[in-house]
Amino acid sequence: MRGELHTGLIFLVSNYLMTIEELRLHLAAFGGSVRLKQWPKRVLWGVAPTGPVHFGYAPYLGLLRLFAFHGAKVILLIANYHGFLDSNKTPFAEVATKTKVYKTSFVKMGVPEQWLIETNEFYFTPNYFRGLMEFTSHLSISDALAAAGLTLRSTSAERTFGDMLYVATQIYDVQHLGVDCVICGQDEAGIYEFGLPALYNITDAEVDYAYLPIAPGLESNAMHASDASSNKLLLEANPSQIAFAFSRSSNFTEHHSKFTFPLLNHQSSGLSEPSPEAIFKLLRGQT
Amino acid sequence: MQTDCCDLNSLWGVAPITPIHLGYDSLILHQKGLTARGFKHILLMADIHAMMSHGITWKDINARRVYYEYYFTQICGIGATCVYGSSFQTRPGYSEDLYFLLSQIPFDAVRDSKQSGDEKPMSAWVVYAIMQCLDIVHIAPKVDLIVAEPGQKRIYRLLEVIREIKTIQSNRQMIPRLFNISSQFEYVDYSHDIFGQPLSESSTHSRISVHDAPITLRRKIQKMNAPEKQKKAGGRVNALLEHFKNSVFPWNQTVSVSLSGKEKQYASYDAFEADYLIGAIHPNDAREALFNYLELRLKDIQKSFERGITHWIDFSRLELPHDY
Repeated sequence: MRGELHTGLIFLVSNYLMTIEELRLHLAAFGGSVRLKQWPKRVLWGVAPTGPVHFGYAPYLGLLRLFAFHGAKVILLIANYHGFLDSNKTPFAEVATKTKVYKTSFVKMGVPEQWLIETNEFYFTPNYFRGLMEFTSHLSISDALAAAGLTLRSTSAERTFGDMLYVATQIYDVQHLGVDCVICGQDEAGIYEFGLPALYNITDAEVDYAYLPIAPGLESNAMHASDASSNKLLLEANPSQIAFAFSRSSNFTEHHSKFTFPLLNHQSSGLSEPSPEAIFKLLRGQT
Repeated sequence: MQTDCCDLNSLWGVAPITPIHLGYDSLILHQKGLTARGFKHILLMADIHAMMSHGITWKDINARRVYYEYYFTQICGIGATCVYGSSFQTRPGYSEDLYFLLSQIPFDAVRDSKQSGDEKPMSAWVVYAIMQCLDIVHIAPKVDLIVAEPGQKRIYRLLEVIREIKTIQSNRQMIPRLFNISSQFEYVDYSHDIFGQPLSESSTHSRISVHDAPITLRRKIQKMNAPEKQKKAGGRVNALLEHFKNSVFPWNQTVSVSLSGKEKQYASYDAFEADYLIGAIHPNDAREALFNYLELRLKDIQKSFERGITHWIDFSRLELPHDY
């Protein structure tokens, strides 16, 4: 028995399995942008460890699990060097500490350790360095900064060539890691929107993408790692914290119920109105 | 031979890009002079720089750097240690320093260092320039003298700019040697092209390539700017004289010129130039002598190259078009 797609809401019933067509419609129905010609073989999601691992990451975990279920090799890239490059807002020693925290958190959430890679593991290798330098000859400084758009925190007066490097590395990572699909938030899509066509011009490799809608916070329309704790729910939250958060904001509750849980629960189990305990398990892939 | 500089290191970097031409001769002679003075000279084959500035593939770069190294050290006899840029620029310590420097340098700080007329510079431009500065502290424990052509001043000026950036000063432990560079710079002009114009304004057809066939060489010499009795005219140098100075005399013990059918031997360029400037040597006689000497020199060079080293060169592009 298949699930029925209706105005973006998926009714979950036993033995349901989301198809790629349904996934496209699901992401688009909530304001995401997607191009998925087929299930990806190698998918990349990068996250800069600048704050705590929060609930806004939940749909990404769901999507990665869905792709993995369909045979994709998943790369969850802890972009620790990007945390440092983003206008040096986060000192490198702090980034190193947060990297450990992120990895530990993701593993606790059921992420297989083999998914996790740090940028530091390959940014200083000869192959990466040489490839990156070659890529910079195809990337104008003005295009790099325009692509950065809202992603980088620096103002135009504060901008350094680190911002340019941030953009160049994020795009070149796609080529270096040999992925055929990237996922990121709609608010961070500018770099890929510019970078994927740029890579195509150089390599002839077409890379699919899924840019996810911005997840709401408990108090505002978006939840970011750098937000005040009152706007955030940590991904590792216990059932009572989850229950409290879901009781506070209807916007937050509706978004995750309709958008995130179907992704996390792409296989089955009938969680149309999951309990806090069920959400706790769902986040950890324990359906 | 002077040997007053035996504890000093000198450096010249070149990006292996195009087929080699005689415009390098002035720089080659300068470097041979340094090694004769006892400098331990380093010839930096800036292979990654070549890839960045001209989008040349790594495979093609490899062919070019072998060719450049062979020409400068074996054919021209520069007694240098040849170092490939990629041999140290791909070390983690180097890339870490580079990423750090880039993250600290505001856009405005290097605005004056970019090439004029480059309205939409590529990211590679700034990375290229910063790497060239960083090379000085990574290629050897100490570089005392840097040889470069004057166009490189805008890049090395960045060293001062970088050291004045407060965030870099406060992180001196990151690249301490950057603050202790005491290198001297010697800026040496390239030779000019056949029209007596700067090489930066030249094309393949207005330079004498070491691969030129005799017929191409003769046509280029016929077109050479050679004002009678003058070293310079109309803002252009006398290319004929300059080629004698850099590409003939230093490579021959004596030079013979046929003056109205009578041979005259010159042991020095100065004597030759003096005769030219008083009109004792007519430009056409000098052209003929230049052709004879360069034809021999190019023939020797071309014989020295193994075919495998020059496989990447499209020799047909070096030929002068009929209407040139």
